[in-house]
Amino acid sequence: MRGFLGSIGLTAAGAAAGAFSAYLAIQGAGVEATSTGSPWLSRAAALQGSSGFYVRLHYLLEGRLPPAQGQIAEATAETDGEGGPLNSGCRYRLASTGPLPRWWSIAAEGVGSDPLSRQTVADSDMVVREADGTVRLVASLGPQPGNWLKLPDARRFTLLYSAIPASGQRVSTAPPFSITREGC
Amino acid sequence: MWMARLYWLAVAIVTAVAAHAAFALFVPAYWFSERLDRIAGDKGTNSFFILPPADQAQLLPGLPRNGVTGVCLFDVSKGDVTLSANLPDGLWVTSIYTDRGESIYSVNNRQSGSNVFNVTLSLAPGFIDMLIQATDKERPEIDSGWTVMSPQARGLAVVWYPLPDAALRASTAESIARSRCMAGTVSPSQ
Repeated sequence: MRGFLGSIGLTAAGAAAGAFSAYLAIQGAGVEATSTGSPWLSRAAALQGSSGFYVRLHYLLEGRLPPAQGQIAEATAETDGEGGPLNSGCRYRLASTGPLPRWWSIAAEGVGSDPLSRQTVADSDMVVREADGTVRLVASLGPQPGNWLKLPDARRFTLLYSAIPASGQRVSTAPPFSITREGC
Repeated sequence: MWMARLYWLAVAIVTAVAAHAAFALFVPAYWFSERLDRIAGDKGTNSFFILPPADQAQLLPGLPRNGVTGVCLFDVSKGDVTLSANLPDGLWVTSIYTDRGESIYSVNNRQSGSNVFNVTLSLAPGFIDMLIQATDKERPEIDSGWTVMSPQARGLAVVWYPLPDAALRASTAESIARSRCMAGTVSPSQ
């Protein structure tokens, strides 16, 4: 009898381990830096890779849609270029580092804040470019001259980047923006 | 005794693999399908509606909330469904997904060349259907827009229109809401 119960228990443990390992594989699938040393992270890039199956399941389990492939690029950043956590008590400079897509947007939202809390957004339609075509933004709580991205009141915040490439332009998940902390 | 232990160990490993596959194949899809049903609410399938901001933030959290999202939850199990888009000028992206989250079609305003267009959604034939169709009469051509074959019967078409200012949301939503989603195909004259 004990042997039988042990066998049933072993089978049940196998089932639980299998389901749990699937959950872990789905949750951990595909979050990676968009390029070496970049603070921008993207799960969307892994959709095309070997772990694409689990990445797509991750989106489903979160109750959300993956970005339309070949159409929209998405990335998030929770740290600056030096690896320090983004903090609304500091001032950050976001500067374009390469060709900009047809349309792009950078939004700031507080970590752990209500999903419906207001985002602050800077996008390609509203920023003023430098004479050489580059874009510089200052992200801070208080107003700044030039392009200003107001940070949320929550202490920790996340930057969300989304972009639509120009016709014929490859969809790059790596946002062409550096994030530099200027002071706190 | 050892054989019996080895047998049950093998059973446990096979059960683990089966449970892993079953969880991955069914749980996220079921969860997402339930989410879509909640979003559709009393609007049901094959109708186009503007997502409230809360559902928009849930369904597309990576996109800025200063924007309008219209969706059609389609069900092509009983026949074709047509999305007749009638969108305002400006940048927009229309994407079609299955209820398993597979992106099967996407177009933006420049690629479309027009803000008014039809997309006919059909159920992709299965292997048996393909064999039958090879000897049976061909499916009629639909020339009133694009035709997208979905490998799943259910899915959703999403129209996303980014806005520089949330204050423009109401008027833009009103404009996008002129789009329609309905069972059947649309003739070229419609």
